[in-house]
Amino acid sequence: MIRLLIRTTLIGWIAIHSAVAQDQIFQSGFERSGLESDADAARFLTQASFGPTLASISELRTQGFDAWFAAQREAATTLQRPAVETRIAALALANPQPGPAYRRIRLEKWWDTAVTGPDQLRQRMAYALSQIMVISDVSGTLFGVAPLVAEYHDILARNALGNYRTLLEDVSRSSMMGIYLTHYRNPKTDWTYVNGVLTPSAIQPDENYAREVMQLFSIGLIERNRDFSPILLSGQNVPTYNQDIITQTARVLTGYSSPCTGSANIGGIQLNRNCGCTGTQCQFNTATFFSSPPVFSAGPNLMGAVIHPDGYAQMVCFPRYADTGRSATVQDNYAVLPAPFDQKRLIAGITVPPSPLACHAGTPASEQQACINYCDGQLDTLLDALFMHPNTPPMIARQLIQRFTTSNPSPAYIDRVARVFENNGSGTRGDLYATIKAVLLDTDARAGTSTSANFGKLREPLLKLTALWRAFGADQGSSGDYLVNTPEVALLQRPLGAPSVFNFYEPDHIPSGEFASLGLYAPELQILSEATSVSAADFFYARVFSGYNTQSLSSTPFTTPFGAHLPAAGIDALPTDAAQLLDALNLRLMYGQMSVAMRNRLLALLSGPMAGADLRRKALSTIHLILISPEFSAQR
Amino acid sequence: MSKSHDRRHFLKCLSGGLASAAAWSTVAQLGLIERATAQVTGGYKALVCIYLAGANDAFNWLAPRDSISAGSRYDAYQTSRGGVYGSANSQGLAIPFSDLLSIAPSNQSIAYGLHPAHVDFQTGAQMHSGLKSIFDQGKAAFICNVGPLLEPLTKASYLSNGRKPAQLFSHNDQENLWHLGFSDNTLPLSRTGWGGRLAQSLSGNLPNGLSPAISIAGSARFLTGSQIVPYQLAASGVDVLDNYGATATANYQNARRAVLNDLLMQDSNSPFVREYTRTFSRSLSIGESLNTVLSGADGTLSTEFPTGSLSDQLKLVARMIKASRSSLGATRQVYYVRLGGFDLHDGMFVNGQPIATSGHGDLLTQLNQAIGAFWTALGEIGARSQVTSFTMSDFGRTLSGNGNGTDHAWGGNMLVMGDAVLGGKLYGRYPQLVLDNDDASNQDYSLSRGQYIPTTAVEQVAATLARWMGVTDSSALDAMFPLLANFSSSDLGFMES
Repeated sequence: MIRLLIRTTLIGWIAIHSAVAQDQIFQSGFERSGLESDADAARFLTQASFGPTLASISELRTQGFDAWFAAQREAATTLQRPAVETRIAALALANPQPGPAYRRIRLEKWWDTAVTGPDQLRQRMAYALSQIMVISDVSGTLFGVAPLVAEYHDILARNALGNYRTLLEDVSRSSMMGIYLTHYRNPKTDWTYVNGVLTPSAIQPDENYAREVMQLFSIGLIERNRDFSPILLSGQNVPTYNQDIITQTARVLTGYSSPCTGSANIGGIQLNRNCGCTGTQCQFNTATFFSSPPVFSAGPNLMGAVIHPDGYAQMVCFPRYADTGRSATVQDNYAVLPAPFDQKRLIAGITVPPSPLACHAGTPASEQQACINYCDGQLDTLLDALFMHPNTPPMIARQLIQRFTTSNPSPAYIDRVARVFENNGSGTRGDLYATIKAVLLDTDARAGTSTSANFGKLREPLLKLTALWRAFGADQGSSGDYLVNTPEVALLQRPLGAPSVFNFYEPDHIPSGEFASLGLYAPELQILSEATSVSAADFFYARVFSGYNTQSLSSTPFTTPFGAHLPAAGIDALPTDAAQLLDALNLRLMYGQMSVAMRNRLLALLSGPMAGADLRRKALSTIHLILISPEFSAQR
Repeated sequence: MSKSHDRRHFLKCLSGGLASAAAWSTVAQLGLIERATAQVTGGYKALVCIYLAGANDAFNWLAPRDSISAGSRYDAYQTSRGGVYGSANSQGLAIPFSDLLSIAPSNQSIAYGLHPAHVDFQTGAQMHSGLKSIFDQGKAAFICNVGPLLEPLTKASYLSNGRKPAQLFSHNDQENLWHLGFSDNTLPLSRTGWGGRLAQSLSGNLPNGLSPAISIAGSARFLTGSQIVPYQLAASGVDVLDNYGATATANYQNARRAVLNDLLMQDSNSPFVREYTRTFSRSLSIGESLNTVLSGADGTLSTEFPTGSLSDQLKLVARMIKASRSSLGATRQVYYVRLGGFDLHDGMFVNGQPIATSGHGDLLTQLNQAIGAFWTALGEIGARSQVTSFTMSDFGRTLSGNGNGTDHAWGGNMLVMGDAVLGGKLYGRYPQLVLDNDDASNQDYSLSRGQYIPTTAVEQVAATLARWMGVTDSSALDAMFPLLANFSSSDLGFMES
């Protein structure tokens, strides 16, 4: 309030203008509070985007927070899969290779989107969500199938500022998640008569997704208050579920596989798919359940360069393989199983009753839709249960806060964000736009270290790279590409390429040493080590100096390199005066928070040993020192 | 001169610049804290933990192989696993009797079978023993049905009021308990790992600052002590900071390095900045001296290692052991390596490809080749009696399948390997592999999908290894493993005394 008054006072002409104008100014002054300087804007954009640029700083200060958020929501969603598959198709037609040869094409699109995409908030949110609802292309079936991984990104991007319930369903029905966490073609247990006794088959529904969708994507392991503190019963944590609930939930997640929609053409590549069925009939076709959508692959590897759209379409239910709580044999006319096998018992005492109809390969056409509805209905029941569980708002709030602003949010901060997740002010639960806005505009987020020195987080290595590239308007090289194909080697991070469903690091990671003694979390420190601190420093050196020849001490010739680089024109436009140069770099990379000691030390370098160097060398050397400096390591 | 000066400079930074909140770890890193609470006698010893991430299917790794006739142990195994995998039964999970590599543990009444991945193999011109040969030679043993426990459990106590570890069947939680070496993560020691506690009790940091707990696989709770921080190396070796030579003048290297050194001496009020500073400084000070040693004869092996992540990691461990014993003067070390991909809810077998080398067999082949070459390398440097390797994994897997894979379970089998292992034997109780079993006479308890209740606790294995490393005092063991007294024995007898 004090800040507001000062601001309105400073705008001297306000008093002599009309009441309407005064309101507008007052209003916009209110919006811009917290944006008193370029540094304020740069700090916000470090949290909210892939890194500030001069243009985005200016745009934010002009718009103010509310208008900026609204514009970010309206900005067209940059999708990856359509571009990725079109490009791969062209490459594959000219020079057919198996899928893994095209992994880098997805990465190229990801880099370009992070560096130049206008929908920064949405993309940054999609990236954060990719670290919560994890799939990965570093191993297993998704390794060489760029279009699938790109489409999964697009699911996250489309829903990033939408509703969590829709996101949860799109993720759960995604064949990419189905492949990654193995509920793709997950068959039920068939009950049949063996020696006259109704007996379950040896096959049990896969429990993988049932467990992780609860543990990691929604409710977590123990009952929590809205501020994330554990609810204790006699001093003990209260588990949200037990093994039986996992087994029962796995039964709901049975019967899903790819739809069959006939042949398709992707970028000139014909992918023939002969369904032998149409419409809902296909979902009663045993062969379709097991039929893999065709892929284009001329090489020896079976993984595809280009994949039929059925392969990344939402999975559909095949009621014959879904657990309907009934037997699998005509011998008893697919009777409802004896209790307790007829029902599925989910969290919070929610149960799924058996299907009123028998659903099997021979279900008559008139009853097929009802069977599909039963199947879809039981998935809805499960997802609604997770969505409505009181744990989900604080679980998602805390993880988003950790991804964007601070590793150790106060209980009050989590509570405020969780309240918005519960109700966006218009009665809607799960509004991710309102939620991320609450994360970023929270008083704790804006106040930063002025309330606690522990506020903030270690910068993600990948976000250091995007911040560098955005700050200096990186260009693709003469190849037309960034050509940073394996960032995980030096940085231990690769977009949608975590080592496991537990991401690059875990939200509850407490490093040994000082953090353990302080009881503080630091997820990103899980990938900082003696090894990676140096490998990242070397990696950034190559990125900063890409294209610049440093053989001479006095001149720094530039030749456009093959891959990503900081364009010489931008570097040459930096101030030549050492103090002004440091101010410029301080704003772009460190939102103006460089300490006096650090600034003085860099100034001594530029005016001392490097006094004879050209601007390019001074600027690039300083940029790299900033990138590997202690002060840059944390976002605060 | 300049190099050691450089190192002293960093150590000075570490103690000076960050003296406030972080003083304890700085001191620990400098080795100033009184190191050993136990008396170290004799020569060098090391433990190597090979972590099989995602949960290894331990009952296809080591299966009973007595007879295929009805009522045999193998028959029980194949029944619980939905039959034998093959073209006629793509959903069976049992390995065909004839494919299992027969071993005859000297303390068992029946034969067992190792997964067919564990054969001898050749790398370049060099032959290596596979795990079967190493076991047959009495240099390896298995400890059966091990898992996290708070107290011994029966089926009845599991189902009623027996105390169970929290979050059974969850990957990260159960992995954490294996690293802790006890199963109550609310105890004060639960920020540490048993490898770290053990290393700390036996050794301080080396003169060059190197921690006695060394990870080649990134962050590892296992190696964390209350007073020591593990040193993390990449499998490729030491990564030395390029373009910042302290004495190089090209491209202003020395001037920029001087700036970097000074920036790393600044204090900060942010714990994140302090931790980054400590880690980066350690890397610069220790890494350069380590690199010098590893690049020389003391860091060089003639053993040919196959390619692969685990193989690369164990090769570096062998080089580090060679260098640590000689140039670095280490007496006790604990290493951590890791192979991922074991969470086979699907893809246990690959249709049309050999069981030995595809699906689960592909992972076990990587394991077999890495430990086989490591065994050769330990022979080359004469360290087989000084180094004991063992596996840990998140948990065992369900016996019943999902089609071509399995789900999360509990007890599983561990491998121990080394000259000091009383090998060629099985320790603990190998389960009968029956679903939903409640057989008190054999202490054989399983849940409906064949999730086995462990009959040996993690700390019983850990304490046995800790004794071999030199922690023989029972009060020291009880302090290191606070729930050890809940179990019948702290020495399972698989190590030489």
